[in-house]
Amino acid sequence: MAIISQDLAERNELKIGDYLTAHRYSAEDQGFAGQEIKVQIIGLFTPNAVEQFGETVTTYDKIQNRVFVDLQTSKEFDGEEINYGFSALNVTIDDPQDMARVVAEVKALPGIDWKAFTVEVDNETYENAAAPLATLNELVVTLLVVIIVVSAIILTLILTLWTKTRIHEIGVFLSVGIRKSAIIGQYLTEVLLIAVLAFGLSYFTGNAVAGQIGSHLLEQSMQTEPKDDNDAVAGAAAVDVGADNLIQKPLPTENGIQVSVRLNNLAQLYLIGLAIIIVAVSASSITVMRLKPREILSKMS
Amino acid sequence: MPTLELKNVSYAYEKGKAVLQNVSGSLETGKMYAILGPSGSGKTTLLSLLGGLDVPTQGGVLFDGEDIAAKGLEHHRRNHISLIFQSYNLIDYMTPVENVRLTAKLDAAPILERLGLEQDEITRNVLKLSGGQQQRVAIARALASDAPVILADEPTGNLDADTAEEITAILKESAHAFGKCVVVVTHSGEVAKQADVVLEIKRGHLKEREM
Repeated sequence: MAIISQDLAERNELKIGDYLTAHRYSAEDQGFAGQEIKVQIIGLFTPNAVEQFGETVTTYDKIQNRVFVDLQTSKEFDGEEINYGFSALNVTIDDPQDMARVVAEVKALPGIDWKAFTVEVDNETYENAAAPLATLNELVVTLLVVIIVVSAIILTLILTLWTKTRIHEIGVFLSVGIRKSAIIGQYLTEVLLIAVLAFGLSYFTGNAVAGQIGSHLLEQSMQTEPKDDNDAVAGAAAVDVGADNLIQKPLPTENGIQVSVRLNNLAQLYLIGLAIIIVAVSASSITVMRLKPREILSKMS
Repeated sequence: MPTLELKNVSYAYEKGKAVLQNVSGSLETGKMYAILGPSGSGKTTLLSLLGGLDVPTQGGVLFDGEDIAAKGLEHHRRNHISLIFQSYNLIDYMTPVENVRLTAKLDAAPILERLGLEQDEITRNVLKLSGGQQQRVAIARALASDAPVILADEPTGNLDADTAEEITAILKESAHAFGKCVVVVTHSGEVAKQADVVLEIKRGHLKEREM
């Protein structure tokens, strides 16, 4: 069986199903020797990249001139008995997160002399794609911290102004013996009631907004990757010694990313919001609660 | 044993001016006291100290023989005294019933009705009541707390003469009929006449005045 390039097939008027006749080349005899070997063309391939203009490539190195055969055919050319084995094992994985696990499994395969073989990891394409997303993740975390701090400050300022408008009420409460903790507890409850409404609304709007932002950000990150005229190939990357510089490693599929706000994310945000509210209410109450009731009543009058 | 005692109480503002100097005295339940004095003499300051709204610079205030600061001024305000202000100091988003229930240990509605408020008036917002009615609500709040001491700062200051007379009568009844210790700070001679004991603050000192 053999696979040849589309170019080779067109130039030689070959098609799938046709047979190629091959002879083993003998360096000693300086010519073709041995029996004819017929191989059937079972497929055609198209290289993802060709040599650049002006780049000197020998006929032998041209990927278009390569004929890929199965192992048995290859051994027939050598005239040797088939010695089943592999010189290389290419493993592709769907999830880069499984890389370490797969490497461990490969290393655990029996019958491999690890003095003669090495495991090479090639996730450059993934890293290139993931790098902008990792940067984005850092940016989002930083932004989240900034938003938390600014929110606490703004809410504290608003509640401070609000508390000052209620100084009369605070003075009355304190003068009749109501505990400061009860007064702060009332204000906290009032703010939390408003927060419950806001949190409930955010549950519905969060997913919609997150989806929009995620799609936009993915478009931004994918624009930095080099475009190929051909369709991007998902899956295996065939590596051939001597020709791998002409085979482009595949890009990730552009099916987009699915963005959703999970319940545990919402719960975390609600807890952060609750903490912000507690801090803001406490901070805004300090200035008033430090006053003696008489001072408050004096301000009232 | 007197209910409230002043033990060598002095009070000075931060800038150093002494308002009260070494004031001592005792106040008992079942009596209505009037405190007179010119403006700025320290009447309201004295009331604030008795009510635990402020802390004396020197000396102490005792309730039933115990320093009011021992268990905290908040405890004193919550359990021993009730305050009535010239400007009523009601919570403006509450009804009379809700205002009274802030401190009530007794049922609010009967007390409000006894003070002359109708059923429909006690369930409407306090801002829709007249000054006299609001002061009645303030008195009801004081009575409903069942505190042994009622401290009133110019309770009739914003009221007409007839209403002032009614309010004074209610306060006097609280002292005589309900055994409260009622202390009224006032400029009004008419109110002072109704008191059992009239005290006067002059130059930072407290003295009983002959009426």
